[in-house]
Amino acid sequence: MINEVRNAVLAFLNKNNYGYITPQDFNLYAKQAQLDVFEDMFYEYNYQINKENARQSGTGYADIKKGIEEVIDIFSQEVILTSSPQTLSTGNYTNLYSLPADYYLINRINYRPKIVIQTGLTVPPAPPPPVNFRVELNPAQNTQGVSPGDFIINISSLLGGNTQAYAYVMSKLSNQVLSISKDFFQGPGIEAYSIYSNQYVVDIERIHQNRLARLLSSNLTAPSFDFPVYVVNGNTINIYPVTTTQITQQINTFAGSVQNYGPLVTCQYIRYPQDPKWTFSLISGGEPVFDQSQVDYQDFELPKDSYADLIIRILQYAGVSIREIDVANYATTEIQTNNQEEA
Amino acid sequence: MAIPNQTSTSQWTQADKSYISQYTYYENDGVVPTNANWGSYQYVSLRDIVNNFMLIYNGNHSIINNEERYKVIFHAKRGIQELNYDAFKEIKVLEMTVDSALRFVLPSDYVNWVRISLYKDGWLRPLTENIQVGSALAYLKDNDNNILFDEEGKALSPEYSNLDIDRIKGSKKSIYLNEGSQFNNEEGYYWEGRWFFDYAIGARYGLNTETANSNPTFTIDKRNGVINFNSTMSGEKCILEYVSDGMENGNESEIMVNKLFEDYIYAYLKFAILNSKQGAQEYLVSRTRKEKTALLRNAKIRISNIHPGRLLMNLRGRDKWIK
Repeated sequence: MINEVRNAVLAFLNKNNYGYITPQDFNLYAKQAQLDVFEDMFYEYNYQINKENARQSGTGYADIKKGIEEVIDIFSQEVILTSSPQTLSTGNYTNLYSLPADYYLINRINYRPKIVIQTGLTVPPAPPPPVNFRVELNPAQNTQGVSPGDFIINISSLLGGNTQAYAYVMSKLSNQVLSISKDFFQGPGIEAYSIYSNQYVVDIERIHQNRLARLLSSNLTAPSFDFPVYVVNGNTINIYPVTTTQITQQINTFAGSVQNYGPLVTCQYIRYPQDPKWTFSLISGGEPVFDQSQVDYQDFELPKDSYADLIIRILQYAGVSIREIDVANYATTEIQTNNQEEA
Repeated sequence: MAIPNQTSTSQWTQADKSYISQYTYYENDGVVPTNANWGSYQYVSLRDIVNNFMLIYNGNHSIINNEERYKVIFHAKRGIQELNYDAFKEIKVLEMTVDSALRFVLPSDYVNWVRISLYKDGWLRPLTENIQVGSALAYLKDNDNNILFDEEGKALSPEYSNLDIDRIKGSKKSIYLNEGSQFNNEEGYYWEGRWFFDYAIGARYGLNTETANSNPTFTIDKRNGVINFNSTMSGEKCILEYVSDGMENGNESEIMVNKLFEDYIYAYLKFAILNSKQGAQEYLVSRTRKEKTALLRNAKIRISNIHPGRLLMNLRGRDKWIK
């Protein structure tokens, strides 16, 4: 979509043959425009909810809120949060967990306290897929306590920094073999895994910093194993009560060192969109030629219905840049008109 | 007994997490204590109450939204405490032997007593409360009648006041009841298992009906957390029936509500939250107040177990001749 947007922007600007903007400038404006549209979605979403509450919205094709939710969910991610520092000496633990670097909004943080199988070892089945979508348990363990829907993590991959090294158990193929929702192996060789029950997933509630001290000393509402809370400090969170963050995994990794791993804390969040990048390979007749095979190519992540919005906003920035007041005014008026129509 | 291999191709099973297999129910999967799940189906846990409330009653299209979970937990616990005081009819019972200081230390989760009995010779004898003062704090004084203080300025107290000593030693008079005795209804002293009486000189007027009982009497010292008995209770077994607040000594996984009160708890939560919310319309507060009051009434009737079988039992008693 990015090339179409760029062509449209150039067509608008280039009427008098002086409105050309370079690819570098376009990429800057495109990034800013995408962020604008992205952030506006959340305000629009809230507005639509208020309309629903006032019984002023429809269902089915008239369900505007649903459409916005679908767009926001494009940016939804679920990752395993790792304790910080990740490598701890035996017996130590921390209630400090690192948040993902690209988060825009933390939607929920959970933990799964119930371990079904702890630190089993397995070898990835030979490729090709879908053979990899299964885990062969080591002989000492069996699938008796495992239920479809349970959460399985690849500890080896997780310790390697892959916070999405998880899958769901889909079915039990035998007493030793599980079918899982995706291939989460990192390569040949022995890998460690653990399985957590999905029947008991606890929400960790975000609380404001100024409530923390009172909450911790409260007789009725102190954070507990069943009702834990967290506060945000920069790009990390502190989970309370501290006892919920005690070590539940001690992983004897293959190099012989022991690494501890706390309870399985997962986070579902909305990430920022990737920076769009219009890439080109060569210049022909003074014009760069679009090439999406470049490694740093990045299309807009917003869906096609944002096409017009993106063009108008890029025009607004470009109009200001080239001091073309008509373009800037046109873009501003269009945005206001759109807002009124949506209202 | 082994659990059958539950190989399944269904994707999710956690929807049934409140339901356990019969093996788990009867045998707790072979884990001690094996009776841990007996009767559990009558109850809904605090965890489920809070989870259900946040899911169903708190949200964008509900009359309650943007409410923090810890506030819901607070109101839920307060509601459960109130139910435990009178509506649940869940009486806890504790048996302890009364020590030589004639004290019975109140249980750690004690809130109020229902009945206190002496268990002796295979009989349970309900005791009466003696509302007359039976225990007191005393201060030490010097010869000039000045109170003595320690270096921190606190008044010094003896271990027992004279009132306590009289009660413990039995040197405090009490009424002797024994219709077959000439000393029936006489004031006397109970000392080391025997009664002693003053010479009957002069006249006695009236009878103190509060203490006129052949069984021991007791006084509850709430502040000090003990039940004080009179001297006849030393070494005897005391059965205390009491109510708690249902907080299970802070173990949240054990806090439960009878299912008959489940709807009431949700209604109570709605009311309690709206009642303390700024800007909540008064008609909503009023509606939820009526709802929770009606549901409490219904739940109390239900848990009273008034059904034809019970009425029949009572009605049959009308033909019994009272001699």
